[in-house]
Amino acid sequence: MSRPVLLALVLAAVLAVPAASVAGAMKDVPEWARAAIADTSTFGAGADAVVLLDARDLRVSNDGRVTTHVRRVIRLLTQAGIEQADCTVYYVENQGRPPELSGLLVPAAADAAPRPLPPAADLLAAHGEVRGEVRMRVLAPGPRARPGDVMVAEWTHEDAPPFLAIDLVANLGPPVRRSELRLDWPPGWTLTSRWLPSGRLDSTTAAGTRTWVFDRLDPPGEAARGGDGGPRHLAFAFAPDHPLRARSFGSWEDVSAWFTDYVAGRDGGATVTTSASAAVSGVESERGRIAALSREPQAARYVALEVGLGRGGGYLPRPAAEVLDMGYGDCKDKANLFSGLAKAAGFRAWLVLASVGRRDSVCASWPSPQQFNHCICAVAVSDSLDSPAVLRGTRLGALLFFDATDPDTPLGELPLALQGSLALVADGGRGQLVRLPATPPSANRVDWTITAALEPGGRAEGTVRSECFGAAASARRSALRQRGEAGLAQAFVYALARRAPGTVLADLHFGAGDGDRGCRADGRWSSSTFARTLSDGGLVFGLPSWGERAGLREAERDEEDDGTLAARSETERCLVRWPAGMHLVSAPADTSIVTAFASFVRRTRTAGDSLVVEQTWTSLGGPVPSDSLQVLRGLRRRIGAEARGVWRLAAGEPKR
Amino acid sequence: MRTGSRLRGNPFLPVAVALAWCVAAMPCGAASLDPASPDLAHPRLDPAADAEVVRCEYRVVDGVVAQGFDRLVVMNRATMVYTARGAEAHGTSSILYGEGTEVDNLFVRVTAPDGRSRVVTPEKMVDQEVLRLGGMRLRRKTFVVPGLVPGSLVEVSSRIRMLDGWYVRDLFLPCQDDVPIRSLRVRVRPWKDRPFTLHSSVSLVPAEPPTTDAEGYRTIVVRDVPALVEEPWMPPFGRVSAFLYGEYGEPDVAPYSINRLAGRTGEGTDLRKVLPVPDTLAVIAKSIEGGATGLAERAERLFRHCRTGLRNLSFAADSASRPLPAAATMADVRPLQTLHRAEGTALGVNLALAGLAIASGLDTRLVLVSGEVPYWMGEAPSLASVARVLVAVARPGGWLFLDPGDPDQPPGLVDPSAEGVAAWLSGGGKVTDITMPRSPASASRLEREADLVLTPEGDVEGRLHVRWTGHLAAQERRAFAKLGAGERAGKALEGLRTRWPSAEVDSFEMVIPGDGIEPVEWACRVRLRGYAPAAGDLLLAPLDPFEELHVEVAADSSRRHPVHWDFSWSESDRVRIALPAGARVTPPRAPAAASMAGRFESDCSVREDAPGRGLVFERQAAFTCPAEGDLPAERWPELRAAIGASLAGSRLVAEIAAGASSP
Repeated sequence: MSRPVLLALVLAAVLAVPAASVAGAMKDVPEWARAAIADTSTFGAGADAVVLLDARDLRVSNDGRVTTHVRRVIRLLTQAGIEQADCTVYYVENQGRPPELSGLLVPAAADAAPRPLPPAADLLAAHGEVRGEVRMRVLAPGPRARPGDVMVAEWTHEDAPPFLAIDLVANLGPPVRRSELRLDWPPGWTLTSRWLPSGRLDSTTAAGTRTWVFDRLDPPGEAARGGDGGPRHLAFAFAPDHPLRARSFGSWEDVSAWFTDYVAGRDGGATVTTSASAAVSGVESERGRIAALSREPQAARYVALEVGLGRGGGYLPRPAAEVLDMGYGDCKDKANLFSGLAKAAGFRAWLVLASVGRRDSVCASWPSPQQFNHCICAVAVSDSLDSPAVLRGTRLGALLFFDATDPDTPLGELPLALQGSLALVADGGRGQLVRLPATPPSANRVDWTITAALEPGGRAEGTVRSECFGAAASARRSALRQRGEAGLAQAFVYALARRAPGTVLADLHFGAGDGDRGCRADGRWSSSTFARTLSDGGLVFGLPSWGERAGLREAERDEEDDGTLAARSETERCLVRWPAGMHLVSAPADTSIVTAFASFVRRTRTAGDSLVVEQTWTSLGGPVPSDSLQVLRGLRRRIGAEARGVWRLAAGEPKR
Repeated sequence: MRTGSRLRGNPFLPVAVALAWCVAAMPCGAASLDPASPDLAHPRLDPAADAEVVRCEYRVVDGVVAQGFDRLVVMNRATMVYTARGAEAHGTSSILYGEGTEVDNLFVRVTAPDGRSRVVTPEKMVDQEVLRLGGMRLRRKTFVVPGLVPGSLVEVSSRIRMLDGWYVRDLFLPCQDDVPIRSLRVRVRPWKDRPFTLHSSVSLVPAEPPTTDAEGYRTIVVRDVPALVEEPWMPPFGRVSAFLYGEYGEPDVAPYSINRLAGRTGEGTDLRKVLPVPDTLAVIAKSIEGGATGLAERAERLFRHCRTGLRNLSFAADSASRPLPAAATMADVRPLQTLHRAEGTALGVNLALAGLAIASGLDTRLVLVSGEVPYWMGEAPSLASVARVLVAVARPGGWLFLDPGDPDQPPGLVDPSAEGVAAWLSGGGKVTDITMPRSPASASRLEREADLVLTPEGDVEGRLHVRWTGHLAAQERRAFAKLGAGERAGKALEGLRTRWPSAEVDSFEMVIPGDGIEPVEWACRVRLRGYAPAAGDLLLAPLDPFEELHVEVAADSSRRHPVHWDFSWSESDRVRIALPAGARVTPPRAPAAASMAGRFESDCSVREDAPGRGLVFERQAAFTCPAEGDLPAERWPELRAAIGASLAGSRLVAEIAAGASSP
């Protein structure tokens, strides 16, 4: 062979695609994956990854074990997609068989051979879980993956869940081109199925096998924006015809009965009785006694050390006496301690299963303990006790709800994240699903009072005071607790530096406001550029944004992604005194924008050499229908534009 | 713009990771702290601190057992908790440890303000296996301190035995925490058969001269160590924090192949004898160059081929420094093989470029760049500290440095950590000691452009375009590449929305080139209602709609640490605002140029595009890393004032008398 020909062959080997290898490159890829990879549709264009196939085969055996076989094909479109794409399988050690994951990385280049994926990492899944038995295995694309490559994964997993219910996340994150779900269950069992948080799914009462196929599932965020309410789950519950029935739930009363029985006998003890007696000693009023009992559970540090999550232990509190002794606990520990103390002091009290998140995240028509992620407490109170956290008219009469886990929300109030959501009062077989009380925006308000003494050159200085109430005060207390006064003051300075460039905040200090319910901050401010000097010698100034303006400051906010507005309001009352010898030439018109979701009102009045501007933003709270999100954004923009109004001063006397 | 990371540049990071877990999370005190101890009576170092370590002791004993190198670390720490936040932070601890490590004698006691003590019993300590990966196992011991309230004293002690791990060769003891330490005593008994040196960092001032006793213990006592507080533009961790570092014997022996590459071993400095460069490579190089004639153009084409045509198997963007020892194999030094496989490690990719450039006849060198050398070594960097291997190609005016194995660096730029450090230029028959050049501010640019139209109502609408080049592009690429497509717009527009919360944005497009050569950029159309508020018959139009940069840093009037920038960079804003027809405009006077000699320069200008038609605003700023290094903290007010003066340019507002109609 001549030298030029040899060189040409070598060159071809280095730079060209070896055609001979193309055909053989896919032979190691399973047939089921090849079909998915062959899909060349543009579905998911613009996403970071697309799940081409998510096929799940679940087999429920007569002893309640669930064997899952999963085949998944993911096309990785960007570097972000590579970093986010993984197959994570949770399992409980020593309970069934751990999942065995394996897979291939199929390079985008047609001639490149598929490579085995790196071995799956096995990690502790719940870090506070004492037994360390809830684990996860994670199969990732690995460092060799590049955009355009396809990840092919397969695994089988056998599990014995504590409840006879299966909750599957339907939309995995990336868009799903094709999702197949096949379910087999034993004869004689009853199956109920549905979409969570809403929507019905075909169900059957017959034994056998059913297969569902879904095309083009959108990612969770899209679903939320489409009004379907966040990540979608497929939920299946089984009611067997034998003793395993105890692990299934047909009603909320069933759930209540199971939970009440599960936690029974853990809220008493001599030390609990002694502590309760000491707490209420000398306190006469009903509210005072309950408040006294709430202090210890609320002051306990939040530490979650779960015991036996894989056996339903996520619902099992540690004995109240132990929590009292150790001074720490998680939500159910603290609620259980408070319940024990209250009972020891003669009150009727119950644990309450609740959900922190979306207001509508608990689906009333799907009785299952798996819908909850939080535990609070309810105490029966007299009808005369008035409090935003009291719900009247329940089967148990007037109930005062208390979240001992939130160290910043005092007894008598409820954290915003719980307000208006569904919760289960666990009272044996008589338990009731109730909607927790919700407060109006005025209860969760921030009042700003700002004074400004304006100098002829445009400099101004003055005082600033903010008073927070309700949930706003809780948020302020939380920030203070976590960051300290110095840290929070610095956060204020930073925020103001961005929102009101040139404004300097000094001597900021914090204190209690209205008893233990409010929270106040006072400080001094100055700005060398508060007002601009116009070419005619006049001055013009706007009012900086001191706070969050009740969440109406930004046109687009995260809260819209979960479809819920917080009920709160914020008022800025600014008193500006201008230099002698000047007068007000123009001011923004008084404004009142009122809609179904929010409102903004601004009034200006003058008195001598001063003006008072009062602006109030109100967010009414509650779920926002998906078709109204654009309306809400438009409203925020309108409010934002209005709030940028300026006041203009001129030298001399006003013209008559 | 650039915030120095505490850990970046820390030469002992791997060791630190192993031990910091133990040390930071794990104080100790097998022996009870005497209530009459002067440490307890010592006045508080910082009245605002949530807690203070009143006494901390480490005892380290190294030796050799049958299985290999053996290290015993005994720790005792007593912490006084003052606030609820301190109780929160010190109420739970974890010790992470791997195979070959034993953690025993874990002892925890809390003494309440009323003097009552309680001990965490062993059954309350949780020991879990947190990671299994291949043959690797990682475990963790966790404990919760019971009954912890403000005013409590927490004593913790443990004994950790490390057997034959890679990490036991050197010793790294972080001696600073996020709370002050009143008394720190470190006793180290090194393996007696090897020379051992114990260094302390600049920030660690021993209270007494280090001593060595008859048992061979070297003892260092330090008092009143303040809390380590992070702040923006902070130097790397290794330069500002307090720590001890101990090392054994001679520096590591450099891998044989690296010595060969450096031409130090007498095998010649002709790279043709070191790198296999068969004739085939010349043919391949010519094919890649594709008719390019200029030296720089040829080099760049070869660079692009290696960057985009070869799959880089190294883990991360900044990995050029990592795979060196492992990758210095013959497979990696054969450019033809790398090209044929179309993949290689970062080093392999760079050597492939070197081979191509040599084969093409370009005057080529390998550049061996040293890593950061601990200041106490007091000697010239050696081959032992080589951190990365780059390629240099001669061109008129100097060397063109190339690092195709680092997917973040365009031609002519190297990783910021390789700027300004010692390097060896190997090839052409000799080895030359050089200092790697620092990139100029113009090499890493943030360019922002706005083309807006102002309506008679005071709204503006138009297009924004932002792009980053050089090191700034690398930073942004790393930050944005991790985000999903939907999150990128949110992050890109975050600053704009802070200033203009009601901004309406559409047609957002972002380009994140995967080659690390082209700029990262985004553009969108924007509408800002109420942009120019009306004041009587005037509209007051801000000239710069972009996010103000560095306002938070400039808001801090005091500073603890020197000002550190990883590299030099520049910023420019160019804004054109078309005015309503017939508008009469009074442009503001631009502030004087701001500067702080040699480090910061800024200027801005305002002009009418055409009388009554439009305004053009331009602002430039340059941040330069001078050769003399970081700016001392006491000079922060000067820099802050200069940045503040520059920000004034961003806040200019034009007075516009309303015209008769819109354009």
